Amino acid sequence: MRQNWRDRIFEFWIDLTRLLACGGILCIFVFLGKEALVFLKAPEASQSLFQLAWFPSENRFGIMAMVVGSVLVVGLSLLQAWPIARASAIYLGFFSSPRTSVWLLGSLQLMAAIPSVVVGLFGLSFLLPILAVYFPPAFGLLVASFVLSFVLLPSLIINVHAMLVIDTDPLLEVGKSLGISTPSLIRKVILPQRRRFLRRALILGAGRAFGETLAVLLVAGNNIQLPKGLFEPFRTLNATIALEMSYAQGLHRSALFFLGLCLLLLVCVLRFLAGRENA
Amino acid sequence: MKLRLSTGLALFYVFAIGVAVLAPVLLHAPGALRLGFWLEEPVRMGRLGGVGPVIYSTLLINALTLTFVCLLGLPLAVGLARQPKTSSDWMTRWIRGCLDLLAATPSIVYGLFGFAFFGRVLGLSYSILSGSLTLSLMILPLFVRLVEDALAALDPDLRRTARSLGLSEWTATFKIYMPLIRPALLAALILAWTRAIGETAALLYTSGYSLRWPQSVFESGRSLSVHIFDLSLNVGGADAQAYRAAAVILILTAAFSFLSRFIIRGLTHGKTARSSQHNRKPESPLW
Repeated sequence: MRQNWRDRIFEFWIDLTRLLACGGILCIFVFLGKEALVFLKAPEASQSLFQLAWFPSENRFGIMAMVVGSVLVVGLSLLQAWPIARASAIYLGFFSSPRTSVWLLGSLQLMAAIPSVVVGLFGLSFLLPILAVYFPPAFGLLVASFVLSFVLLPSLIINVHAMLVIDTDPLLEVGKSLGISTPSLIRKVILPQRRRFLRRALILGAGRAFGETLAVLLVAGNNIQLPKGLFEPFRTLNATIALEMSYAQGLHRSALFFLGLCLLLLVCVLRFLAGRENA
Repeated sequence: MKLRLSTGLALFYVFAIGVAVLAPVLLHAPGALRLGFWLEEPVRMGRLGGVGPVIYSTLLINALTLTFVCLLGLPLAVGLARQPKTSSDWMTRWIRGCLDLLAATPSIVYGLFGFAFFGRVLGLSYSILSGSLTLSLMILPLFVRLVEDALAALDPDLRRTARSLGLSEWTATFKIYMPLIRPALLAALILAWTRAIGETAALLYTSGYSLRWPQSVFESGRSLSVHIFDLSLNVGGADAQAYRAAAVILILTAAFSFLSRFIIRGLTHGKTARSSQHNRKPESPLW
């Protein structure tokens, strides 16, 4: 193959971007780790790590309340979003006409384009005032998980739908020729066969849920405490970073980077659990 | 029939919430359609006035971000598309793995990284450039995935023909492959852009909060989504203004996606062969 100067530059450029892509994630790990190291080295800070109290001014950095808050809100939101996403994807894939499906998927893509902060704003200025009449102060797990579930839903439906309709035509034809009704075909054949793909979509959704910051922050109330009920204010890991980064100094700042590193590691573990795409 | 009904209801529920979320935004759309709102400066932290500087900063951040994404993403996608998805080549696997991790990284972590690396180490502090660099790193995996899929969907004979004609890689890429995937490229850009305009957490500590007109890319500028966040959390009694800013985002998004659809239709001359949805190639999740 002829190689002229443009080709050489192009090849060099491709290699450079390859390096940048690998270097990018490495850089993130290294920088977060470097900044977090100050915190990890400080003995008084790491002693208080697994406690509930987070008082940066007193050098007490207990993250457990926020970990519990994060896990609870993600769990509750997936509990709401997953059955709905699965059912909607089944409807899109097998019950609506192909033409309608294209339209519905298009609108779902538009819904996925709604910035999550707008959904948070909806929760803050619309849901909370109504609920506050019955359950003051209403900030808390229920509204936060509802908002989060709606942030997740459009892309979750699109993903699950994509997983369900891969190469389904032969299955549908065989099912039809055997006289199996579509509902039982879906329940007995397609869903069990796709279980692994669905689990992957669910885990990826969980990763996204852990990464979502501001929509939850707006409606969570953000008091650092264990949530005792569905309408008690709580705080997530991400919210702490977003709220305190603007004024944090020294050990406190380093602790926030440590929280970021924890989040990153958590999401990487989830990605690992989800498995390789073509496996 | 029961399954059909219940699944249909689930989808209906999703769309009902979607309408409920969008309703207040649409109610405030008339206020956002006033030309002054797009040009004027915010008054009293954004309680009154328009969002002129905010829109300007947003567009600046997005334009820079998309430029960086194209510069980095196109070659990367071209390089990746040469190897099949199942390739066992260790470097390709590594790059795909890294892109996977980049795609999974939470946006607040990008914000922290941008703050520490672009802001502190490279000395950009709070600036539009720092924000767009952070954002482009965040959007890169999505863009690469879309472009790579489009390239991989091309007829493999095309590649062989180009090789046998002795075309240089540069010519083959920019004269043959790119024109063929132009619609997909445009769609990828639009999708990347919608992610960019909706992003808040990654920009909070990289491009900052400033409400003034940015004089250059080295100054801080507030994007629309950061503006919405700030109005709803820190500024009392500004919900209507926040909704108007949200309406601006939606208007921009709708305008761009309709424009792109229009252009794509022009590019393909209406020759879009729509295959059965059950016969598509396996797609992997984008988000």
